[in-house]
Amino acid sequence: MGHPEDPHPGLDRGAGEARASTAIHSTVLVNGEALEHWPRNLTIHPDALEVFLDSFQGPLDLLLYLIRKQNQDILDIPVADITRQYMEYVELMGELRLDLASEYLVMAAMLAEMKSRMILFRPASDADDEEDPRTLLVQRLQEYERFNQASQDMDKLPRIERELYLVSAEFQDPEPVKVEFQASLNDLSIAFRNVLERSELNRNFSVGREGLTVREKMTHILGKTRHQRFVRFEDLFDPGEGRAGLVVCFMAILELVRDNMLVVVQNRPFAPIHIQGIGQNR
Amino acid sequence: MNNELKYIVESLLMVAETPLTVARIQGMFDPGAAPRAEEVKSAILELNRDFEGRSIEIKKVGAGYRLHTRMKYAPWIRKLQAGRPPRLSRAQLETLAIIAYRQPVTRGDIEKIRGVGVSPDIMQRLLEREWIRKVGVRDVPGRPELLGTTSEFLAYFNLESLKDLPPLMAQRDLGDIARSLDTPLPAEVLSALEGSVPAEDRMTAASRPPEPDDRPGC
Repeated sequence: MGHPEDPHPGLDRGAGEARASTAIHSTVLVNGEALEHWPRNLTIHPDALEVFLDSFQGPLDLLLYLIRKQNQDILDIPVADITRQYMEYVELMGELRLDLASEYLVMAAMLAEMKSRMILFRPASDADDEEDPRTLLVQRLQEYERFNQASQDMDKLPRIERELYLVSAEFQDPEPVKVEFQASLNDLSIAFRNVLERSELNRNFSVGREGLTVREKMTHILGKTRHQRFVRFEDLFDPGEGRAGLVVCFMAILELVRDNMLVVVQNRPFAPIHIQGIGQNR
Repeated sequence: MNNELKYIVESLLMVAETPLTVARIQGMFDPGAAPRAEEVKSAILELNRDFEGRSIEIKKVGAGYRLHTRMKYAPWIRKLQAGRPPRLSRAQLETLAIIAYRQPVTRGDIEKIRGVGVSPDIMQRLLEREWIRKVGVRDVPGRPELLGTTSEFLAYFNLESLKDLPPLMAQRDLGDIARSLDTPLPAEVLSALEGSVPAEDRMTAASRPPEPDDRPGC
């Protein structure tokens, strides 16, 4: 049977060999001699083997892999052989302490039963009352194989994000213009620039450094906003403080706004900005 | 040919984020001034003819039409992409395939075919991508949810309908299976099997999965 895409590429060795690469704690025989050290040319790292075993989608997938590896048709399973190999893999997964799904064990039991039935002589009349487990297994395997194949075919379909890309001219839905009643940071900056510009007129009067800190200024502003419910933004500034003082004052306002101690209000675009204290004015 | 209609359709396809149905295109016009469905369809056909020899094409996916780049140019476009195209895991693909071909199915149906439990992550992912959806419940104890694919699934995999899915492998007759096993089944079992194969299991390569009851494009 054709096997268009090996889901487990690069790991085409038998379970026996695979076991030799990991189970050093138990006696490993190579050509009849006990193996004491790992072969240096070992190509499969135990971790890789774990990933390999972990990559099976379930017992049916593992069985299908074993059958295909032997170029066997699922209709023509050498039950004894496949059962032995299956058990080896299941044991291996146990040794690696892979959290084995119970489905694997159910399948193992089913295979074991099948094998024993084939060895035992059974009168033909016994057969009517129960279905032959092989038929059931072959049916399940075939059903799984069909969908496994279908999923691989589906994966090859050209699809969006991989072979096909949507052609799109961007369409910008214009946002309805919203009247802002809260002044934005940008508005504040513009207002501050105006303050600065006005201070240029007072340049000659600038006094020496007063060393105002932002924190001091914050207290000062809170004091002003406590007595007057609304203060014009511009009125919070004292042009006499010079450029550095004005910047400190602006920073203090921003700090207080961030700490929710002040609200900046503007009644309509381009209207004067007012500052209101919160919880200070009663 | 009404060239203006052709270019209106072109502009709509270019800007639309989801495939556009003919009815949707007709709906863009004032009532009374709307072109007939055949006119819209022939405008699309004409437009697609214009695109011959160019890098883009119109494709019908589900009930709607969309504009995409031709497969041939994917390697170039991928260079523009930051990451790799998203990969689907085998578990996701198998689960999706079973739902696509066998819908409506329950989780139990999927688990029966795959022989393992379906992890919630897989279902979550398929639901998030809107490729599958709950289409009802099966009227049995426990009332399990029935799952089916969506129009988004068809669009993603570039399919006009579920009929365009790759055909399922032919299923061989159970009698043949039994006869070809390494030890033959007792004659009684064989005769009991004859004619007892459910019709649904006789699906061949020629038969197609059923049309989903979900109408794409809505």
